[in-house]
Amino acid sequence: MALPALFSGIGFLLTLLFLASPHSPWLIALFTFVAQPCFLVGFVLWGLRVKAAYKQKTS
Amino acid sequence: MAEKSAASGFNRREFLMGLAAVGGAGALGAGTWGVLEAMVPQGIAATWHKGVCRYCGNGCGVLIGMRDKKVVAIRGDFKATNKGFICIKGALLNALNTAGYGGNGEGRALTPKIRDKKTGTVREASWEEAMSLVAERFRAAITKNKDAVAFYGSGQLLTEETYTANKLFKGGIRTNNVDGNPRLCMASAAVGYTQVFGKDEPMGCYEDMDKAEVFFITGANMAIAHQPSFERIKLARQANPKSKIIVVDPRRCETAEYADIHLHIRPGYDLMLLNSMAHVVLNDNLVDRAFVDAHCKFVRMVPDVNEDGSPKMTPQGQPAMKEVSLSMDEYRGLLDPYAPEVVAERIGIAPEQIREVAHLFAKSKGTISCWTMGINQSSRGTATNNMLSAMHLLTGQICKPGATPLSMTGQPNACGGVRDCGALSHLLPHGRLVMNEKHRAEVERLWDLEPGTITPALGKHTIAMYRAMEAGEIECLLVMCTNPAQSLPAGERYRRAMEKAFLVVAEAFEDSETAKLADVILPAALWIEKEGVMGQTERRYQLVEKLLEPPGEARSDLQILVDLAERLDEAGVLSKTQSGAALISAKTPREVWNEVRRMSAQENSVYNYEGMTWERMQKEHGIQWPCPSPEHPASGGKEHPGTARRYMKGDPMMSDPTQDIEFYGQPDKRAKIWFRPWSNLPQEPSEKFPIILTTGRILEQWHTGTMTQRMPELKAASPYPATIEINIQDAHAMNVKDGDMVIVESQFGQVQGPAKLSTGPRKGVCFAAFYDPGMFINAVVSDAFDPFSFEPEFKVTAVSLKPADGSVVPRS
Amino acid sequence: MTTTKLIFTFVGFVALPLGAMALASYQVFEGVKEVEACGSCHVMQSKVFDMKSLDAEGNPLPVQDEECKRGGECKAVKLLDKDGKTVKLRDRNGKVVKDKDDQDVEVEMLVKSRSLAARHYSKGWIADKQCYNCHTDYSFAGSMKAKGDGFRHLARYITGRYEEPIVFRGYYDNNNCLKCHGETEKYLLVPSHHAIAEPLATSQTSCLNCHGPAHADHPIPLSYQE
Repeated sequence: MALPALFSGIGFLLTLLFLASPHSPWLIALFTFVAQPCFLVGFVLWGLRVKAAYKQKTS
Repeated sequence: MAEKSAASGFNRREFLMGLAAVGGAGALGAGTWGVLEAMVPQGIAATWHKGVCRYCGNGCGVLIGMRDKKVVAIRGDFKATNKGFICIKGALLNALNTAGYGGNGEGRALTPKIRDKKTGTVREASWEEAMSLVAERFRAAITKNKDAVAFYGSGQLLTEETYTANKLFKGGIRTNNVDGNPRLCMASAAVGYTQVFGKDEPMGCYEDMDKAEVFFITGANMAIAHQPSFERIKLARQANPKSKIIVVDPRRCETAEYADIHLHIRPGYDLMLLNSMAHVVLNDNLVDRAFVDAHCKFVRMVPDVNEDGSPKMTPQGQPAMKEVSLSMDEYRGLLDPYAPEVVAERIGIAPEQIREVAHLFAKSKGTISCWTMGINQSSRGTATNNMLSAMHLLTGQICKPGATPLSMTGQPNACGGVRDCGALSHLLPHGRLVMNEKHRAEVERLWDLEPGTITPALGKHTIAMYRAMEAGEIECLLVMCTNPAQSLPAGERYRRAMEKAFLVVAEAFEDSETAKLADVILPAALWIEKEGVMGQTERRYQLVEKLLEPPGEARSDLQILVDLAERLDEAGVLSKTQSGAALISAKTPREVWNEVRRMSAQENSVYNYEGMTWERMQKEHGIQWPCPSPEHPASGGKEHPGTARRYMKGDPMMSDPTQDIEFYGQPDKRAKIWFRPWSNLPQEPSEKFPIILTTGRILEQWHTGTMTQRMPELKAASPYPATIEINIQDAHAMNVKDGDMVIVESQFGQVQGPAKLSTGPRKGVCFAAFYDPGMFINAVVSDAFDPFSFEPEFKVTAVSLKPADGSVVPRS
Repeated sequence: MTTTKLIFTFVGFVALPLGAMALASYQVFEGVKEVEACGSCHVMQSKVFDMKSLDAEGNPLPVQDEECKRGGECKAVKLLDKDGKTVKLRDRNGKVVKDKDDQDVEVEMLVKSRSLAARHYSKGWIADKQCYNCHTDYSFAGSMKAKGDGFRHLARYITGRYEEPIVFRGYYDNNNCLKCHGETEKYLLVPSHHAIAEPLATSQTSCLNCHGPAHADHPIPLSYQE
């Protein structure tokens, strides 16, 4: 789970930074164009992990 | 073993997955941005080009939006003097060049046409045939008498075209019968300024509207006729609560509705009002003594007498007048008969109003007066112009920001073309006069003509020109870019005169009332189908660039004039230059413009456009002259930015640049404060003709409607037939209801039109606009004209109004 | 994977991120509507300052003369950036514009600007979120488009992919004016508005044609051929 954690972690970090200073254009941009994709990637990776774990369980 | 390999495989796979994830995240981010870029809607236009509006003398810069070689949208030019403001007519310019042909209705002239006068049939002809015929007829007439031909031009021709026509006729053919529709429009202002300041053209600029505190708007319905400037005035009014808008108008028009003070005067009584205001200024201690003593002098005209006391006569058999100087006390004395209490009733307002307005005018932080046809189109037009300037001079409300007499120009190029290039029957380019020997000599030298070429006699002004046609004295007339058959006063009479002459009409639309009378119609390019310079109200010259090809076989008026010049030269009826080169050697707009620039920067001219090169005109959004070249001492070696305000420090034409103010147009550097006595109007209400007709415009239509009536939105917004606006009291006395047809009749003619009941015009005054060829109001209008400017009096005609159905209200 | 682990990881990788995204997105969507959000970019600053007639610190521009204080004419003052330095006027390529004496031209503003934006603001005709209210097209699609355009501005700004002076891409929809003005009595009483109802509806003719520029240094359209 290291990889998904990494991406989701980046996402959370950037989101928190943004929420701390909501008017900074840099942080808005980082949230919109970096954090959100990272979250989505983290979600996909998590889904793959779950799928792999389920496959392993049933095999 | 298996663990180890599993571990390393895990790392590699993780690593690859990590790369893929990073790539995926990056793609998502960049992809989102890409989608957002694609979402931006396509602009209406693909490219935007700088230009100038085709319509009025406000001279608004426009941005012309094009896509696929068509004009698709118009915006105001934010960098031009109008700051992005235009009016509804300008906003619909995108439809102008496709109007009248190609599935958008009829009317655009696409080929030359020749009319058989006997049968009345019109047939298409080639350019060669048409121009040969024109050249032959002109040649024959010139050979008999060079003054048997004439040119009637327009404040809507480009500067290069007007300049070339003037040179061809005055220098080449040697007739001074060169006049144009600015005679009907700005002549009184031009002559008025010249009589006061020695030179034509306003000294102020639109920026003065931003800084003024009192706006004296007289004889001008700016809200519809110069709307972008009126928006500017409204903004100034809103920004400064102390400011006042004063409107003088016989109608409670759109501008008057907005005013703080409306003087609802009787038509034609502006001179009496101004004399009365001057009376207040002189008697209520409102004169700026320091200014008047330093920069002005008081003058009047008196009959010239011989030594034995008998009146001197002019060669034309008129009593000769001479100019005499006065002291301020004498001047004050001459104004005694104009005390407000004495004249207010005749003017039609209350004496307190005159006093109030005079005080506001005199003591404001800055007073700007704006006027157009209400003042100019009058048999007292020049005198009234003199008195408007006099009010500014007496009160010192001049030559400082926010204080100036700013004559608003009617047409987009009356200033740049006709006035500045001297295309009127008494003028030569750049303020030079036909009757001045030194001026003629200088122009002959510059045009490389033999001394004595230019005829030292006044040519025929517009009314005289058409009367000469009536009498058969003028046989051939070239009319370019104007519609005199609909715009001349006493219209029916001059239509008959035009029918008598060999009439050549260069026009974009072959169904104009004038084209319908033409013997030869030459299809002309319209607006951005040709390029050249236009000069508007505040001495600002702007370049109109060519963006479209003319349709069909239409050509620019410059090409037509160059062609005619070549043919007449070949026929041997043009003056020869001393060097042997053709007189009309400049054949493209750029070449002509360079010649115009050279003419302007000479000894006997205070104009000077040397610094306004074609390249600068392409780059910049209008330049105000004087604008000397970098070589001129006043430029300090750099590109001159143009001159916002004349006759004051910063004006490069001043002979003494250390002075704050210098009226260098006058030999003694003093502006003249004229005394102009009142005399009764040629047209006063009588028993037979008890109502006064005054004419004007509406917002949506430009002049005779040749262009604007073809814009569906503008046509739909305008009443057809055009209405006769009648005061409700007069209407009720005739038992006329809104929409009833009425007959308007004067000694000059009659016309029928639908009544529009209104509280706008004073009782005893009616109003009509002249855009509708089907309601020919100018048939009724008086052709009395001003004795100095020869401008006709469109604003005051005595008429009768009758219901068209012949009903008569029984008297009880 | 145990059920507990599944639930925890679900919360950690899906639920919490979704929640964080929702919260932060809401913050973004509402936050970017504020004038401060637009004004955080120096390119927009001159427009915001013109609208509010403020200096770089957000203070009303120093009213230097008595005349202006009494409600009379106000002279122009120089625009200052955050460091108190004068802002120079630049052309399309970012080069500083020179005047006839070869000096840098500095941006000046009227203390009481007469631009449409300034008049709307100073009279309080739009209560808040003034930039957003005028620059957002009608309904949900309009606000989505506006936000999308906002993000686009953001992407360009932080990556420096823009030229000054900025130009307006696309076109300004007249409905942004008409959504407030279109049904008023004053609007309906003007004959010209009815005459050009169709070109106004498609924005072929702009309201700004007759009513003047919205901002003091109004951007010229893209592809302006000098």
